[in-house]
Amino acid sequence: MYRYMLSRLGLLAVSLVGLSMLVFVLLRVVPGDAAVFLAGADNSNIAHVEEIRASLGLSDPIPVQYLRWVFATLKGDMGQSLFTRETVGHALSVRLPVSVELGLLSLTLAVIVALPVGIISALKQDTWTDQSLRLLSIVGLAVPNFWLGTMAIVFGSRYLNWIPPVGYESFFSSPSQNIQQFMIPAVILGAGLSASLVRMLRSSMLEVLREDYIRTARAKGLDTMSVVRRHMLKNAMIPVVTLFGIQAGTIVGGAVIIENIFNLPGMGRLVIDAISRRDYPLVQGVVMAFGTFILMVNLVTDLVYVWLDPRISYR
Amino acid sequence: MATGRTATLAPSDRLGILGDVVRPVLSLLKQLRRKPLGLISLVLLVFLISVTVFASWVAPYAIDEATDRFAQPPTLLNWFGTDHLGRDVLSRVLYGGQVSLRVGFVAVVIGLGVGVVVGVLSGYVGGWVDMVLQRVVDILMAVPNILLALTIVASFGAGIWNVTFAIAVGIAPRAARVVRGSTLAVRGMPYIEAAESLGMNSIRLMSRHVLPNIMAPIIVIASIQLGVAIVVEASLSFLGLGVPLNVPTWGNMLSGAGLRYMIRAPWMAIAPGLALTLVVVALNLFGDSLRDILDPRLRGSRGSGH
Repeated sequence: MYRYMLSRLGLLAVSLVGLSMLVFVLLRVVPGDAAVFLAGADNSNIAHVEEIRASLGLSDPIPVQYLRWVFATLKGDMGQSLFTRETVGHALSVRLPVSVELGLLSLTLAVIVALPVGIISALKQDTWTDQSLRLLSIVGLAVPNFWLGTMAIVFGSRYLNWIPPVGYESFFSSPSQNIQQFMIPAVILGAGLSASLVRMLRSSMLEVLREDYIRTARAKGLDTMSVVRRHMLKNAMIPVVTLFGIQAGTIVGGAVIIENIFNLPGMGRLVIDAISRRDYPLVQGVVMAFGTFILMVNLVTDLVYVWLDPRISYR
Repeated sequence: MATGRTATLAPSDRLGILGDVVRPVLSLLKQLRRKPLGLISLVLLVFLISVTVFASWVAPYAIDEATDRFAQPPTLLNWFGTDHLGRDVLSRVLYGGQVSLRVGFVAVVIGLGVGVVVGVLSGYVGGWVDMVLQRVVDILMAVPNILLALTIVASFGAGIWNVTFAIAVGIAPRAARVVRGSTLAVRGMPYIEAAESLGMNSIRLMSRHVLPNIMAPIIVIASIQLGVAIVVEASLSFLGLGVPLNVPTWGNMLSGAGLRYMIRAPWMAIAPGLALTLVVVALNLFGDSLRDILDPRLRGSRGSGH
């Protein structure tokens, strides 16, 4: 087990290095850079642009810039925004709680909805309850987040007199406004998540349903609820756990869109703003943070998977 | 698998490969008869794709034709209402679909093409080739689709081709992962061993024996990824980083004016979103039904197998 963990950690390191190279090079392969943008009206003055470029270290060869960035990052300095001069580390730490709250809230909602729905769907396999729940979950998966968001605002403001509050308040400074701000976005983000959870849970429940130990449990007279609770759920949850690894990416991607629609100042908003201004250090920081998060979640799910299911061999 | 086929010359032999690849797809489609939901979604898909492809015949108005009815709710004249410039929303949804579907389709073809080559190589050759390719796949998959596409578009600039390419980059690793898995499963089959022991060269073996046998999962992932591609294109355009705003796509219609007027004229945002959702739902249902047919365990669980 320890050897397996070590090798997985090694792979994580390799992936992180690769990810950082990818992001770094991707942002620099095309001319038109931030120096031109920063020079503003004066951007036809080539000497001036060159000066800005040199002062930002953007005129060095890409490998040099990369190594400099890696060493600085290892020392905890991810650089600063080219525009606001805020350090990247600070920008991330300010925006992180917003995205974490959105992610956790939507995940919680998703699990609360998905558990009963998935179980019912599996127990009533192929009845019309099951069919309609499946259709609903496919629709839930397919409806684009940003359209749901737009519709929520349209119908909220037209019929319910609700518009997303503008100023962001943290949960600790104003819990009620905070919840008002997060509830709808979290429901929308959670809808897609719960849809895929339902589907995964249903199919793994169906598989477990056919196991001999379930028949045994039934035969000794256990009622459905006890069978589900004591024998099925535990085993059916194993493949569902992997889904969390896959969902990490969905949550991040969804957050980017949802935060932009609902004016939530999280990392998703940050990255869109940074991308549209070609704020390299900031884009790098956010994409690396997202990528690291996803790789870590994948690692943890793999480890939990092995731990949950002793039949899986780890090499 | 070559029973009854006589030795032929090179040109028709190449056609034979095509036949080997097309045959499993056809037999898969034939099995759809047992899946009403899958059949309905296929019909729906064909319908939606045809009305957009033939928009110039179907659409009641021309693409930029302005009437004197500005931002009017749906009427018999304009089924989905008109936008702020008096243009027919239904017609624009139909024309917009052309771009959205084309971007998605081309992205899937490119992404799937690369993904299949990488996946088959990875699964069939194995060893360090597999190791290296899979790490690249890991890295690409660590960045969410939309974020990867955003970064690429931010760097290379917006525009239809860059958007298409950016979406394809997100599809390739996901396709590669699935194809690799299926290749590994096929690899252990006796007929591969037989072909190997007959001394068939690897390229021919991969295209002739591996590829036709993994066509089914490829079709499944193609239909699901087409849905993803369409949504990513729409999301990019929605964020203002996609297809240029003057080109009507479903994403563009939802952003810009659609967003500014959405409270006063919600039909401007409802119609393209509905079209988008309908296509993606149909694609997912279709892909899902195919997967059900393919997964022998699920087939057994319907009570017919065991």
